Amino acid sequence: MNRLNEIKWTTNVLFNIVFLITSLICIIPVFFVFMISVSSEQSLAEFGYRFIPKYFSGSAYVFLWNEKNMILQALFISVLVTVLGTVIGVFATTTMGYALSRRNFILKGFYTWVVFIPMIFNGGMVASYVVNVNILGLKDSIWALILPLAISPFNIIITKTFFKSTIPDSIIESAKIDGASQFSIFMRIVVPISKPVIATIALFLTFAYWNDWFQSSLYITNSDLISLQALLNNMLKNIQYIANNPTAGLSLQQYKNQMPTESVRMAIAILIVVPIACAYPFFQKYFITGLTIGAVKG
Amino acid sequence: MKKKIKFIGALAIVLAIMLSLAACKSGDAEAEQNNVSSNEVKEEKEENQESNDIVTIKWVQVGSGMPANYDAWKANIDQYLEEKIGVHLDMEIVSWGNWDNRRSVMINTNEDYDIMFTNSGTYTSDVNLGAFLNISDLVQNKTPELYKFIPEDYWEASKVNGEIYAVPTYKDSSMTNYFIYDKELVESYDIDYTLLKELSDLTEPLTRIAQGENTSPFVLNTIGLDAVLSRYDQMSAGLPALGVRYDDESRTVVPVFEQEDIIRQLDILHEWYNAGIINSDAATLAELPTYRMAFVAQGWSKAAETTWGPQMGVDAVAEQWGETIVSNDTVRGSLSCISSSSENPEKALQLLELVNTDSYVRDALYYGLEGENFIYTDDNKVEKLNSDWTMAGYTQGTFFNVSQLVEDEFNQWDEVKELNANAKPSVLLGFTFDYSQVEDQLANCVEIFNRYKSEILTGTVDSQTQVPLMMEEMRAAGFDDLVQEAQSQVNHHFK
Repeated sequence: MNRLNEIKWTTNVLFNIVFLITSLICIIPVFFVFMISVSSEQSLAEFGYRFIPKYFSGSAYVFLWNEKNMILQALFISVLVTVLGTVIGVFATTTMGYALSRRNFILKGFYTWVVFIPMIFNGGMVASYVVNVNILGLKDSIWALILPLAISPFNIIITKTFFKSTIPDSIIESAKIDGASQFSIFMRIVVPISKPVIATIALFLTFAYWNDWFQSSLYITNSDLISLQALLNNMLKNIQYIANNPTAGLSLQQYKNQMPTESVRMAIAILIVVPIACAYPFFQKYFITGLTIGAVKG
Repeated sequence: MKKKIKFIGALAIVLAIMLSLAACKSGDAEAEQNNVSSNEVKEEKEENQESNDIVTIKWVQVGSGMPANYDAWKANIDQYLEEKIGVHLDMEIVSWGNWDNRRSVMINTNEDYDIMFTNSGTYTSDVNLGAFLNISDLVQNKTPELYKFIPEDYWEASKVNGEIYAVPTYKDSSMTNYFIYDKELVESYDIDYTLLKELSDLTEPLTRIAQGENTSPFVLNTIGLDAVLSRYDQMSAGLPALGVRYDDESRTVVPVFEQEDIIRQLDILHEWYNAGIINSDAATLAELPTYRMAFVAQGWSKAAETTWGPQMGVDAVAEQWGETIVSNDTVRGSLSCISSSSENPEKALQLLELVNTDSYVRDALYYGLEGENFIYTDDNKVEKLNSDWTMAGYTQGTFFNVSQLVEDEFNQWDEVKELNANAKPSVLLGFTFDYSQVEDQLANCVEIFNRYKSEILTGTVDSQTQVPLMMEEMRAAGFDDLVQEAQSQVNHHFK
């Protein structure tokens, strides 16, 4: 019996090689960035990037330690935005998805279109800037980092499809018969059996928030509200800007001396990678269960 | 029965909500009306006592972010400005990396601001969009001191369609190229750098260094040595292949890469590349190393001590390469524009005048808060306490009234001023190419040029074979239309 399900030896080896290569492709860049961050400036100048630097130096991390007020403030903003944004986003997305998945919701058709159209056509940068700044007055506030990313039509469609296909109407009817209100049906019946989709959405949102620097580049001027990602992006872009704008003359080049060194930039990149890499295994558990549920049913 | 009651209850709630919403709405409307009328009253009031009121001027600049001690700084400068011209300042410092996006949305959504920094890349298109105020008359009538302070050539270079839309920053706004060397290195090879005036003169000494040090002394990145093109006025079109030689009195628009002088220089670059003087990865190198044995940069000779040397980490020496040129592009490296929807354009101009003429205001913008970022010494020099100040001096106003630093033994701005005064104006000064008729051709040609530029300008490929290929592609994409259109506009402008 067991032999039937057994994978052929050659396939097994082949698969392992494929996965080995894929994981190396993922790991090597991170490792490389880390090695650059612990290289000394002199080693970088003389030999360029190397996997094993000629001279090691912790000066980049010492520099970050000396700037710890700025770094910690930025890290705090990053974490706050990610946590708050994920909570708000998951709540708004799942409730919307749930409402749309119910057959007896009268405005279902209308709202589905309201969600569906912006998924395909979006207003673009200028239009959303007008709404966020002129109408909602979000400029230079932490909400400018949270609200614009909280709800994505794509996520709503995912949750809607999930609720529709995996939650039988009979469960909800039975809850209704027991006198449960819509809200308690959602919180006590639907949410507990929808962990996989919630984990998926939460993961999407966490990554979206954690990797985001664009909102900050458009809306944030106050240096206390800059996230770690925006800080890193600023540093890189500032250096590029100065390098690519010789027309501004030497006076601009003078600012180049104040820019952080290469190893410092790489050290910040490492600082950004670590927390999110720690969060991933936490979500993965639900991912695997989610996939099996789908497979057994299908 | 129970169900019915529930239904009625729900209905009642819905009705109640609707009613309350409606109430809110009418309330809002009333409030709005009140607001409007109070606004009107306010405006009338403002008109009555315009001269006494303190207005807030919002100034948007590029820099490395908001300074940490901005509030304290603002309180200090506001007090001074209030006494002088009745203005409070509201700065927004956008960091360089965010600038392109932020500037574009602020212009496109007509956000409220009074003064905005801008430069050559976007100046004309934003003027054509109607974003900036035409200050031709205002600046001459309301702020004559400012108008006199900045030389005529610079005003000329800021003109679009014959009107002034920006106050140019009177600083190192002419362009002089320099060869810069590591002092110790050239001395150890017994090279008299002062005799090396042209690219071809450098071939022999650089070959010796390349062999002696066994490395490439002249490191370039993907931008290449674009200074070879600097003799040509590119008319702010963003296509270096199209231009007019800055001293060509006949003002003929030519394909730059097919000119004798350019071909010669590109040949030298290729020769250098083959000889190992230029690094072999130049066409793909993104970021230049801080230390280079020899390179070319814009600036002034004293900058070898004040900027290039510290940047390289060694003592540097510099020798001028070619003449000093002033053109639209060099002046437009830093402009201050006034929003076309600004409520107080006169006050904004007065502020700019003060920045350009009052050393106290200028130092505050350039160095930061007195006592925290810098202190004045007894002989009126400035001692910097830290390098935390994040506003960028070049975006604000002239350099010539900035107080000197204590450690400076000489005033490098005197040299800059002299270079400016002796600069040769380009024959196209004041001419702006309006490419709206040939936008497609231009975009295509820029695309083609970008594909070739790194390899050609680093000498990676032989320009004898690659330039004809590039020109052929560009001609197929409508390069000749560009030449024709530019030429007819030039002829029209200077007839």
